[in-house]
Amino acid sequence: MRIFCGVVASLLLLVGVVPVEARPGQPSAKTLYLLEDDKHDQWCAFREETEWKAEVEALSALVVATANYVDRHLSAVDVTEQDEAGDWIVYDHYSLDHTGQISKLKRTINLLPGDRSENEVFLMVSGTPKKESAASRKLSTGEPVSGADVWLPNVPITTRVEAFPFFPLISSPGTESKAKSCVQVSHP
Amino acid sequence: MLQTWNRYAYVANNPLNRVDPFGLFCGPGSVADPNSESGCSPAPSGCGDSAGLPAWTCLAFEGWPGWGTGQSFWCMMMGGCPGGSGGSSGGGGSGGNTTSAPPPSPPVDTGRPALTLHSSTCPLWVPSGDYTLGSNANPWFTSDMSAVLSTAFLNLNQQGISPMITSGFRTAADQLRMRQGAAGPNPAAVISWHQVGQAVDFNTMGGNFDSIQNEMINQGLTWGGNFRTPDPVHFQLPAAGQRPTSTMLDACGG
Repeated sequence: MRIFCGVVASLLLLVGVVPVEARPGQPSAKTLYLLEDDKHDQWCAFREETEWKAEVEALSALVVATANYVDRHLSAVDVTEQDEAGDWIVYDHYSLDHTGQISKLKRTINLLPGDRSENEVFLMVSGTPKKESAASRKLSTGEPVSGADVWLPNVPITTRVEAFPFFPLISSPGTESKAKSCVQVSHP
Repeated sequence: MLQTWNRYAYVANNPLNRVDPFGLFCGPGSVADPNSESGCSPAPSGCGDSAGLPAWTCLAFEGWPGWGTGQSFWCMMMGGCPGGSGGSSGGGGSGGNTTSAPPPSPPVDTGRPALTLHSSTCPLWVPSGDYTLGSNANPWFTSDMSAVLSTAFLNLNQQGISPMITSGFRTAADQLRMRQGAAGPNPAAVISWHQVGQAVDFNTMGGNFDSIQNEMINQGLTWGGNFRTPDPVHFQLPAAGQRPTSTMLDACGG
């Protein structure tokens, strides 16, 4: 009886430590964390969120990203860019289709000067972003506003996943197994 | 670098040549006056011994654009000095019998207070001149930043330009507002020079932004349009690449 209970306990313990992503019948989800290290002209990817956050703080990184995988396929990329003056921030959520290409962009621009928040949705049509919708509101109150009477940051839209400066980090199969990986980038 | 942190910031970093509210140099109830032969002048009539008040009521802000000679903090807080030395905006006489030269011409009176004290430990000033404020914009700056802006505004006003400030001083809560509604990753919070009163943003849509930009750059401010993540509406007193320290934030509550 004691041996039987030990076996059952061991089995339960084994089930308990199997990662969620490995359970059969359920899609596995994984996130890779990235940051731009402009001092060294490189993008770096981190497996652990805590290490990534610490590095973001240490480097005062202004551009960060996450790459989200479902069943080991890249499904979405989030990129956040803010300016060094602390005036604006742009949240970009890129959705990828089954072919691994960008199909949609949801963009939120929060701007303190002018008290403005802009929400825009773009669909990628033949590699070109087509604005599907746009809405403006006051950042302080959420009240809808109309008119383009404030300056908005001009952050380029990425239309192909290969155009992300950190693409080698999110496309390389071996990257996810390392705690930290970096690739050099060049600024124009 | 920041006069705000200097114990003599209230006298433009020059306590002996500006005012002497505690009577250490010129005697109780007197103010230092560089235009007087003795170096001192009687205190304005609305403060100190001249009004039967403690000497600290003669805390004055001479030499600032828009603030008249001998104008005291006490007078401003009380809405003007009896006897005509002080007021809510610009002008003001030297008070008492002095040999001082006439004060410079007062700036355009916009009707707003000439000074706002943000806190006792972190005085922030409202610049003089004619300008407007955008939604949620606070026109509070450190003394050196306010002086620069006052000069710039007066120059722009002479060209018929009244700039719109779209963002001035921000509290920490104001700054955090930028991150609300975050849908994506954003672990790093930028500490802004706005939080210590060292930065200003202007409306670029008014048609005169080129003139505003040139004036601010001529006054020595750093333009955000040259930042790696460009911010053309932004001007700050410190050079690019510098960040405020947490000590500065603690002191100013920003």
